Formats: sequence, structure tokens, C-alpha cells
Amino acid sequence: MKHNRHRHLLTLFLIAIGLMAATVGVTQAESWPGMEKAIQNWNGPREVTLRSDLEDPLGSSEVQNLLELFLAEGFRPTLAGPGTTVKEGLILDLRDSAGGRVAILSKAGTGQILALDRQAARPLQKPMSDTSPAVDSAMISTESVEPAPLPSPAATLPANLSEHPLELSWEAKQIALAGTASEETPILALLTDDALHLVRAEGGTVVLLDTWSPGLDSGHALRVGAGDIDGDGKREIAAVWAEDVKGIYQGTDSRPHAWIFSVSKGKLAPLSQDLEGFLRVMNDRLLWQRRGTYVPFAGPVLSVDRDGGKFQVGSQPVWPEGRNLYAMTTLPQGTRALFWTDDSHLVLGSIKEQGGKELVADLGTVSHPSVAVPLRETEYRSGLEKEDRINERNVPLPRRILMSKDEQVFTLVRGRSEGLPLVGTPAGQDMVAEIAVVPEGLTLERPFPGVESFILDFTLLPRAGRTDVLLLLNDRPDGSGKSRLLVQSPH
Amino acid sequence: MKRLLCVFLLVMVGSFFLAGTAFAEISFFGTAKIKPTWYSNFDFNNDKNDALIVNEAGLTKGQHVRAELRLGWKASGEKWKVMMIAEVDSIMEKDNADRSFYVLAADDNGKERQPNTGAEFGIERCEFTYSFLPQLELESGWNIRFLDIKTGGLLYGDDHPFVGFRGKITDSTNYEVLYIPIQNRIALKSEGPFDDKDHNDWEVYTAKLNYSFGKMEDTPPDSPFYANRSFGLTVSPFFAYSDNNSWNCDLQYYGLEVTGQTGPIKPYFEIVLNHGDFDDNRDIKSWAMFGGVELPVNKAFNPYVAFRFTQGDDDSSDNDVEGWVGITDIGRFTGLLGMDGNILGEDLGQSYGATLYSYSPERALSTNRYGGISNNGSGDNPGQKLLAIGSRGDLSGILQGLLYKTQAFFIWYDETDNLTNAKDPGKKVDDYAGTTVDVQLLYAFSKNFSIDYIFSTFIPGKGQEDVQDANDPAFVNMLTMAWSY
Repeated sequence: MKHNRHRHLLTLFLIAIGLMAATVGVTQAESWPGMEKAIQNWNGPREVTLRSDLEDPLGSSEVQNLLELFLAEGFRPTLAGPGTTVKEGLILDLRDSAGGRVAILSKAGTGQILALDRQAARPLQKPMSDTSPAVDSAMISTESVEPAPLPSPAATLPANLSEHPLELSWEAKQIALAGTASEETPILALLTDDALHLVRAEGGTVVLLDTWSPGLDSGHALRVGAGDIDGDGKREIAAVWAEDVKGIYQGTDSRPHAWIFSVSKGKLAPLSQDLEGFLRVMNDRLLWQRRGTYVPFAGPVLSVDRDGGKFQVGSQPVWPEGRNLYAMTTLPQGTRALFWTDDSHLVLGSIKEQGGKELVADLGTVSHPSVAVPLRETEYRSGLEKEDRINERNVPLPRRILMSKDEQVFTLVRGRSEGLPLVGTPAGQDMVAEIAVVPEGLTLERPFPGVESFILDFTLLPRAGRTDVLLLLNDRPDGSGKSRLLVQSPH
Repeated sequence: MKRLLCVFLLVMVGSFFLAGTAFAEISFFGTAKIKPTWYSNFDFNNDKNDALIVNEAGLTKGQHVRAELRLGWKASGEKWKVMMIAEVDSIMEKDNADRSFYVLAADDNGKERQPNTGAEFGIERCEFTYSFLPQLELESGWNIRFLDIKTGGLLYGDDHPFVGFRGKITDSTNYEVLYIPIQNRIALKSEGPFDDKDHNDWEVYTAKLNYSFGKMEDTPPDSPFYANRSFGLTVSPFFAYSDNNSWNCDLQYYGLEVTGQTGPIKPYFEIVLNHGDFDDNRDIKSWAMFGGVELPVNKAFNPYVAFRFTQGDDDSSDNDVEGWVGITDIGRFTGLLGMDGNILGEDLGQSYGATLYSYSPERALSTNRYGGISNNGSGDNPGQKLLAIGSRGDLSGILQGLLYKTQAFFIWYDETDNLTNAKDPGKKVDDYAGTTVDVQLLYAFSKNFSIDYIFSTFIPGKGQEDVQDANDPAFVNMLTMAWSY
């Protein structure tokens, strides 16, 4: 009997040891899952260059694990500094970012990213604020920044941000340039589904300066823009979220909520109440439009002006009824304007007349972000019950069009697709393209290279003699994958 | 009428030739709903077993799990559309899951068994359209069609087969005309009640015009009480002709429906009258109405109040058939008072008389039938006066994804002279039929999966107590796990 008990104990002990060993094995195998897959699929030269700004990369057990992986697959690893140029094989970049330790595997020469793995995220430099949307809410920041001047033509960005994407800790859906803390440090407004983040891109990392939450129970990010609206030499930020109100038998109804913020000393300060509509910054002017019951955009487009310390929606129409705030972009030449059609075509027309010359080019279809608008008539797709009905339609916001100081017009071209459901893989390239107005109409220029990632949004970075773009990239077109930043210069 | 049907069919065939070989966009969609359900005491008597209860999956009672599994696909070209949905809808048990045929065709007593007991996919719904012009679109199939589901659902909403046309006359005006062959049956034997080729037919012809005016788009959706300048209404006159050879009668329905928004208030109004006769000259003449208002306060609280009326018959022995019977009373799926599984929308034919989908007690009697669900609505029914209060809303302030709807119905009979008092024989039945209370909570785990629970009870009033000689409450507890894609 006693003998049997010992055997049982021994069996339990062995099982426990086995489980522990299996757990450790699984943990180790899953430390760099993306790397493993990419290495196994790589058919090129078995050379890999490890570039790192870590003080003692070989002293890190994570790096040792990585090197073991490469050696096991027959690679010949080489150590190099962070800025080293590599022409052949693979490049493994190791960085410590706000989101944790990141390993990025890319192809030498083309820079194509093959894998990106991240170790446990380090705490952000500042936790998200849960401040209420009240105008006089106290804002918290651990970083102090001088009042943000407008980006100067001489402003530059960290070199590594323009070479490799920088992973973000947030699921950012929209981006705007809020200012610069110094000539080399842009301050960015990142819009997520539940907050506006003010961050500083610095030295290959993103430093969180401040966060403001609209306090919506269920919503999603719609649009963020920035510009010197009140002419004080500093940029204001306009942020718009949709609150998704649902009913069991009514479907979803997206209601826009919008605020205007100042940026001062690294803090966001609301300059308006909830304006309950859509906002857009265009040519340093702030425009507003309301949502309709059954249409996404209703009524005239109105200007938002500063009255004392607060911004308020004016009463005089800037554009007449029937215009869509995000679909029309006025051009500096006379009364001409660009229009997005419902089927994602770009048309050159006039402010008074929406029809005109269409750009003959496939610009792809961008479906996010969108607003859910109730249908006037319920569609009974497959029956009478609630799951069988369609009560709303999702209307994508027309994609962003930005104009540089020297009147170049840029927009996003969607060339990447997710592939077939379940079995497909993403393919194709997104890019930021320039729309040029010529006597014959519109032409499409491609000053920036395409990227094998979905461009969720972009903003312009004025540089000496040219305009760079800062891309907000994501693995998925709806922004639910990993978010990254990448700077591109024109060819 | 037959000639008209032939013309319809020829036009439909021709339209498919006209469609040619255009490329098609094809998409698939579907739903899977598993519904653990408990029906209790539908006869209002704790001491007796309930009679059988019919729901979409078949005959059942007590505890059961219903599975409604649908796979749909649709294809469309520039002017044409085709949609079909295959469905299994069954009470879950071994004989209808993963089975299709039994070898043993007789039981131990030699009684013939149903040879095919499996639940197989069949075409539950289909629809085919071709648009000749914006003003003229041909439509056919069997899919959801309705005349008044947005308001009271007093007259018609169902998935009967149809052939018809619809179109947009102006930006604010559209129409639909339908031929609906609800029954087209002949006798299998050469003798019997249905030996005449038209004898058991029931055909319905409908027409509806929708005219919208006002400016609905002016509504700031977020602020019902703030600067709400909206005033938009849709006024819809409609007509139906019911050629009901099955019950040897024919009649016309004339109705008007109004929906829309006036300031912060959403009004719902409907009135329908019918007039016709049986072959033996009994006159059919009745009416029904519905009115309701919804006043959105905020996203969590949208209270409403409504009144539903169907006229009752005061004397089943006279030649005037005055009890209201629609073509399909579709109260269960109406916009304001509907709920997918509340007790009044289930089959209460064994007690109150409102059968599956219907809210009015059209089966409280079985005489002078002239329509209704399965053509079994009695023109001698007692009618209904229903006062409803309720609210619905989004509780994401408490828990993101949590939604609710709750309502209470206070129900009176319109006429009780045709009802028999079982409790106090010889005495007049009381007017108050009873009270229902519905509570539904839904939690959406994602866009594609949700779980909801319905608690619903019918507390019999003095009137039902008189009729049933019992007054125990009836209950529905229903859980729905729904996948949709």
C-alpha cells in the first residue's frame, strides 16, 4: 500500500515536471514566433546582421535566444551598430521602445519587413488619463515641452524613423502633426477609439506626453486634424469620434462628437465643448457639419470660430447644403475644388458645381473609418428576427486630402488588399500619391514609394525644399493590427 | 385573375432572357441561432398539461432547444438580383440532427412511421428581381413582404410566395403591387371537400403607396430636445383583396399607415377597415387601428406608449361577422411592440387565442373563419384593446454591448358575448383579458455573436379566468445564442 502511494507520488511528480518542461518549451518557442516563421521561409543568403542600440546585446537572454534561432537555421550572424548599411541577406533590428523590446526582421536592400516581434511591453512613461471631457479638466503630463511652434522648414526627423517603421503601443487610427518640440522632434496627435494621445517621436521611440479621453461608452475614432486656426502661431487639434448607439431592433447609429484642443507645454487643453458634429481642418480653417437622421452629412458646412476663449460653431454657411465636409477640398486656384465620389473616384469641379473632370486612375477603396447611419426602411436580409435584419449602412469617410504649403495636394492610394477570407494573405502596396491639377484635368504622381502595409492615415512633414510624409501603418485595414509610423521622403 | 397571373409569369421569364449573361457579384451570408427555451403553462392552469404549441421549428411544449440554421447567397448584376436562403429549423434531438432516413418504417404496433425524419435544408426564402426602369421592377419568390409591419402589423406581414412589381415614381413616392398565392391546393382524392380545383385556394392581391414629405435630415441625432427642427412623415395608403375560396368568402381591406418624426417624437399610426361577404351572404365588416408614440430621452431610455385595437364580434349567431381578422397578424415583429419571442407573439391558441406571430385573439373561436395565420382566424373573435408601455435602450454606460427592451401590455377584450364563461357558467365574461410583461437583455460579444435572454409572462385577468376557469400565469424563458455573418 505504501509502495503504491510512492508510485503515485512519483507519477504525479513526473507529470508535473513534464508539464513544467512543456510550458517552458512552449514559452521559449513562442518568444519570437514571427521570427521563426520568417527565417524558415527565407530562401535568400543565410546572412543576418544584428543592428542594435542596446548597450550589451549579447548579454541579453532574449538576444541569445534569437541568435540561437538563426544559428539553428544555418545563418551566419554579424553584429553591427544601429545605423549600419547592409546590402545582402537579412537585417535584424533590436530596439527598446515605449511598447517594449522590438525585433524587426527586414530584407537588406529593399527594406521589406518580414517579421516583427515584441517582448513584454514596458510601462508607458505616463498612464492614460481618465479625465472627463469637461473643458476645465486637469491634464496630467510627466513631460514638459516648450510651446509648440509651427513646424519649420528645417525640421528633421530621427533618421531611424525614416528607415524603419516604429511600432506604437496604441491602436492609433488617425494621425496629425501637432507641432514640433524641437527641430528634430515632431509632436503628433494620435487618435485611438477611446482617446487622443499627444506623443513626441524621439530617437526611435515615441514618448507619451498627454492623453485625453472623450468618455464615450462605446465609440470609434473618426478623424483628427491640426492647424493654426486662430492665427496665434500654434497649432490647434480637432478630434472627432463616433459614439455607436445600439438598439436590439434598431441596429447601430453613429453619433459624432468633436472637440478642439490647444497644445501647450506637452498638454492637451480642450478649447470647446462637445460640438456634436464632424470637424475638419482645411487650410488652417476649421469647418463643421452635422449628421442627419438617415444621411451621414446634413445641412450646410459651417465655420468654427473662436469667440473669446472658446470655439463655437458659426451660423453662416461656408459651403451650401448637399456638400460633404470630407469629400470636398477647395483648391487655392479660384473656385475649383476636388471631390470624392461615392465610388472612390476623384473629380475636379467647382465649389458650386460638384461634377467635373474625373481622375482616370484606380485609387482603390478605403472602408475605414466609417459611420453607421440608420436606414429609413429596414431590410429583411434573411428573415424577420433581429439578427436577420439590416437596420443601418456603414458609410466610409472620404479619405484624407492634404495640401502642403507650396500647394501640392496629396492623398492615399489603396493598392493593398486583405486577400480572400480565411485563406488569403494581404498583398499589394498602399502609397501616398500627389494629385496634380493640369489644364486637362487631374493627373496622379507617385513621389513616394509604396509600402506593403495598410496606410491608415498620413500627415505632411515640411522639410527644406520638399515635403515628407509620415505614414500611420497597420497590418489590417481597419486598424485592429499593429500600428507603426514610417517617414518617407519623395524620390 | 388567372390571365393576370399568366402575364406576370411571362414577363418574369422574359426578364431573365433580357438579363443575358451579365457578370454577377456573388456573396454568401448566414445566421445560426440556438434557442434553449422553456414554455410553461400556456393554458393558464398549473394542474393540467399544456396542449401542443407550434413555433417555427414545429410542434413542441415545455423545455426544448430550437436550432434555426440559415445559409444564404445572393448574386446581382446591373439590373437583376437573385437571393436564396437555405434553412434547417428544428427542435434539437437525435432524430433530426445528422439523420435523414430511417430504415424501420413501422413501429412495434405496425403503425407507419414518418420515413424521413431528418431536418434537411430547404429553400426557406428566395427573391428574384429585375429592374426594367426605376419605376418598374419585377419581383418574385417567397420572402418577407408586408403592408403594415412598421406600425401595428394588423393586416399583413409574412414570407408567402409572391409575384409583383415595385418602383420609385419620384424621390418621395414609391409603390408595390403583389399577387400572393397563399394557398393553391387540390384534393388528392377525386372526392371530398377540395375536389373543385379552386375550392381550397386563397389568393391575395395587395397595393401600397408610400409618400414621404418634410425634412428628416434636419434632425440632430444626438439632441432630441435641442433645436430639433425635424418634421418628416411617410403616409402610406394600402389596399388588399382577399379571394378566400377556402372559406368561401372574399373581402377588401383599406388602410392607411403613418410613420416618421415630428420634433423629438416618433409617431406610429395605422387604421384598417375590411368589407366583404361569404357566399351565403353573411357580411364581413370590421376594423382595427394602432397608434403609438416614442419619445427618445437619451440612448439608454427611449420610452413609448401605444394602443392597439381590433374589433370583436358581438353575436356569432347573426349574419354580421364583425371580428377583425387580418391576412397575417404580424404583431410579434412590428417596430414598436415587437419582440422575437415574447409570450404574446408565441402560440397561445390553447388559451387567449393569439397564435404564433399574432397579437390579437383571432383563434379564440373557430367559427366564421376568413383569414389569419394558416387561414384559421375566426370572424367571431372577441377583439382586443391593448395598451402598451415600454422602453428600450443602450446600456453601454453600464456594460459595453449591453442592450435591453422591456414592455408591459394591458389587454382587454372588445366584445365578450361570444365567449363562454367556464368559471361561472351563464355569466358574462369579464372584459379584462390579462397583463403581459416582457424583459429582453442582449449582450453583443462582437458584431457577429450575441446572446440574449427573454423573460415573458402572461398573467391572466378576470376575463381569462372566466374562460379558462384557471388563472395561473404563463411563462416564456428563452435564451438565444446568435451567430451572424
